[in-house]
Amino acid sequence: MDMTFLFPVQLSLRVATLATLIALFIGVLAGWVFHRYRFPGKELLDSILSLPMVLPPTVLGYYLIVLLGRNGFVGRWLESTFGVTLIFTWQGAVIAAAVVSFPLIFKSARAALDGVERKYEDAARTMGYPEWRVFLRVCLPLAGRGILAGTMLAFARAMGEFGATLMIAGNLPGRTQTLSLAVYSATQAGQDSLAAQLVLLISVLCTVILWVSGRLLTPRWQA
Amino acid sequence: MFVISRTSSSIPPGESTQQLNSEQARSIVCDIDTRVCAPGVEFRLKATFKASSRRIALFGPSGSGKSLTLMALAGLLTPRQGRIEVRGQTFFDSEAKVNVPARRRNVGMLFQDYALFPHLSVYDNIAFGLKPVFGPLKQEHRARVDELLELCGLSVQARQRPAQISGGQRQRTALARALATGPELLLLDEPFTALDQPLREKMRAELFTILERFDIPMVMVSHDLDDVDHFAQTLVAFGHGRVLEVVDYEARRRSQSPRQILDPLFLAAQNCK
Repeated sequence: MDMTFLFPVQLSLRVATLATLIALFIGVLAGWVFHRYRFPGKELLDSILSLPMVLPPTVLGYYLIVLLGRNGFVGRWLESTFGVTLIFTWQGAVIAAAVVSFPLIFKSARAALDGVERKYEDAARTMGYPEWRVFLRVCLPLAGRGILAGTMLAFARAMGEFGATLMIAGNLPGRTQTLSLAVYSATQAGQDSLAAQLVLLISVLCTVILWVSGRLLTPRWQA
Repeated sequence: MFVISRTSSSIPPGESTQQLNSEQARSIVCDIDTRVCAPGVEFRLKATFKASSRRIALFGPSGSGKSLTLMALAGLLTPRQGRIEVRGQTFFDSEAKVNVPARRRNVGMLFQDYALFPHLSVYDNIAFGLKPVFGPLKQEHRARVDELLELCGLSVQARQRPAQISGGQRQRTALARALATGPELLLLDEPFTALDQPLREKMRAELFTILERFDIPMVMVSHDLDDVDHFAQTLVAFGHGRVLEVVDYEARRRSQSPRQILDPLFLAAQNCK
C-alpha cells in the first residue's frame, strides 16, 4: 500500500497543532486584555482582530506575503536577523493557519471571560490576589470550557486551512502539501481514490473535534 | 465609650492625618465623591462619615449608595476624589495620590450572594486566600482551615461544591473564607437578603455567634430593620447617594424602639431626591 498519502496527514496535524497553540496563547491574552481594560477604539480593534474569520483566505494570504515575503516589512527583518524565510516553508503554513484560527479563540475567550461575574474576581482581590493570579485561579477555570471549545474550533479550522496556506507556503508535495492541499491536487490529477481517502479522513477528524467541543460546552457545575 | 461624630458637610482636612491618637486608630473615615455610570443612568455618590465603633451599619433603601460605599472601602471601586482612612491607615487619598489596591487592604468581604467559587470545594474556597503561589497549603494554614470548618459546622461538607450545600451552609462558607486570611476589618454586604424569613433569623443568630469569637471590627450594609437592630452600634443612614445622618444607635436604643429611630431615617431617605 502506498503510504505517501500519510505525509499530508502528519503535516496537517503538526501545522494545526502548532498554529492552535500559537493562536491559543495570543488569543487568550488578547481576550483577557479586552475583558480587563477599557481603551479608545476597543471595539474597532476587536473587529480588525476578527477580520481573518470573514475575509477570503486569499486576501489574508496576500497580506501575509506583503508582510512576511522577501520584500515584506517583517520578512526582510527575519531574513537579515535570523536568516529565516517563511515563504514556501511549512513554518509559513503554521503562521497562515494561526492567523486564520486566531479570531475563533480570541472571540470565544473574550466572551467566556466577560461571562465570568465580577464578584468572583473581586472576592479573589480582597483575599490578596494580584491580577495575574486572579486570572489564573479564577478567570481561567471559570472561562475554561468556553476557551477550550473555541480552541477545538480553531484546531478544526487550522486543519482545513487552504487559501492562505497555498499563497504563503505553496503546494509542494512532501514539503508543504497539507491535507486540504493534497485533496485539491489529487482531484486535479484524477487520483480519485486518494482524494476519497483523504476526504474521508479529514471528515472523520473534524466530526470528532466538533463533537468533543460540543460536549465541553455542556455545563459541569452550577453556579 | 464610642466616639461618634455627626457629619457636617465635610471633615476638616488634616484632622486625622496629623496625629494618630487612639481614636484615630479605631475610626473609619470616609469622605468620597464619585460617579458611577451604568448604561443610560449616572449615579452620584457623595458619602461622608466618620465612625469609631466596632460595628457600623450602613443603612438605607436600595439605590442609596451604601453598597458602593462598601465597595470603595474594600478597594473594589475607586472614587473620583476623596479620602478613606480605616483605623489609622490611609487607603485612599486623591490629593496625596494614594490608592492602596484591594489585595493589600487586608479587608475581609462577605458578598451579598456570597460569590463562592463554583469550581472549588468548600475546603478550597475557605483555603483560597491562604494558598501559596506554588505548592500545597502550609501546615499552620491547614490547621486554620480545619478550625474554621469546625467552627462554622462545615466539616462534613468540606469536599462538596457550593452548588451541593444549603443556603445557610453557603453563607457560613463565605464567612469562613472571609475570615481565613485574618482581616483587620470585615465588610458584610446585605448578608441575609439571599435567605428567606424563617431561615434569616436563625442565620443571623448563627452568624453573630461565630463573629463574637473573632474580635474584629465590622461594617455591614443593610436595609433591614432587624439586621440593623441586632448589629449596629453606629448607624450611617444613606439616602440617594448621600449620608443623611450618623447615629449613635446603641445610645439612642436605650430610650427608643428600633422603629422610632429607623422609620424617620427611611422616610427622609425616600424624600431626598
